[in-house]
Amino acid sequence: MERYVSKPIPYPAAEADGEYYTRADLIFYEVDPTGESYYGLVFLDAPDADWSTPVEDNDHFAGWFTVFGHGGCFGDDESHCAPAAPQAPGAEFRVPLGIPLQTKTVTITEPLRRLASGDSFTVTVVAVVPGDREQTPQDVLNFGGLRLVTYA
Amino acid sequence: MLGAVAARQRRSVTQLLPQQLETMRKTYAALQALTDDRGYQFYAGIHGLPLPKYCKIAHGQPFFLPWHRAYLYSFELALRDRAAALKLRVGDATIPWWDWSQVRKIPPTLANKTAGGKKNPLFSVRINDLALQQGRRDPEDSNAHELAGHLDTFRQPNRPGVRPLPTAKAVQAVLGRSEFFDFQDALEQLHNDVHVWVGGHMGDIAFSAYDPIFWSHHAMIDRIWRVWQTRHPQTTLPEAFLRVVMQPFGLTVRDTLDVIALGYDYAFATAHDPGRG
Repeated sequence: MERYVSKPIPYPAAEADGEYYTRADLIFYEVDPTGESYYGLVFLDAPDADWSTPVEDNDHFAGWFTVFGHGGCFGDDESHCAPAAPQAPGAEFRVPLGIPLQTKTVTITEPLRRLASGDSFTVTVVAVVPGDREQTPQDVLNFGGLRLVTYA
Repeated sequence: MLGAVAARQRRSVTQLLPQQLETMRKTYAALQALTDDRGYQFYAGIHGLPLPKYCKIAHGQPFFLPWHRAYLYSFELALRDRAAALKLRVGDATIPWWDWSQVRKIPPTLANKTAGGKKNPLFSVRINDLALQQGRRDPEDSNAHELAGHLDTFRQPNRPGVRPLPTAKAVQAVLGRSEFFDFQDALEQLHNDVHVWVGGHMGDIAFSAYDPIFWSHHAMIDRIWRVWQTRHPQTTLPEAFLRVVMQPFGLTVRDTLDVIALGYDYAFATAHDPGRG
């Protein structure tokens, strides 16, 4: 996909002493790194953000994760990168095949504090491939889900 | 930095003495001239193409820092072999780091097309046919297919849409993370940003290690890890993690933790004076 908009995510609940969190992370699970390199620009409470939305002087811009792309599979067929029969851990010692999905973390502590109002917020992720094709959306973003994790 | 004196010191690429720079150029050129498994193509190919790629261990995984330390260690020993063969000072044959948090462009040592009236071996490298052939297996509209159409490595630094190089403040923030895997994840993000900022072949895992700047970028990453280690000497890691043997180097994660035992260290800071000649 080119961009992703989350459902509303509840703001972190206040602790008894009124302290919310010292650090807040957005963790993106099962990020697909198999294609070309790209940025996942992260906006909070900006469901209309897209590849043309400025990131400078924009309170809704919360950071980014960078996928250093594998560039492709390069095998004889697709099963080279996604073997039909996964190798059994501990049972063999060959160099493992396949390209595993990744986890990406974007620390959003200050942007989240800045925008804290209401009961919830949305996360928008915009995929940007820098270079000549930067001015057009790229269908490179693929991940399994996200989670907000806060630390006391 | 601390403890015993290492056999060799890695230095800043912008602070090399003239003879150190000359050794760097000559050893890289000699390595590039070798076509067997002692040569540049062999080492560059380990990172990506030709196959196999070490996708399940090298990137986005818990072995990112140890795997690349083992990689640089192997490459640096190959450089030292060439220095000995050329009767150069072997102690000068180390991989210098590019501190992109301070030097906000590609250093001239790596950016100049020529050096001493000859092709600069630190600017660009011819990519071997098998790697290019496998790269062309990707669809024609893919980036890898496009890169495989170039016989020599090229860069596209600071092109439109690119995020800026990591700042010194960002490096300090990463160094402040006290848990190893949290630190490693944050450092890999800075690493990714530099790869994409340089662009061209450096922006793609399949081909990035063919670009000579790759090694100086990763020496910087390894140096940050070394700084972090001196600041967090009490760190303990899971035994099962430490025991893992990292292919194709044959080193365990534990083997990579002590750079002094690997025979090198980083000069904390480097400077030089041209002297009186």
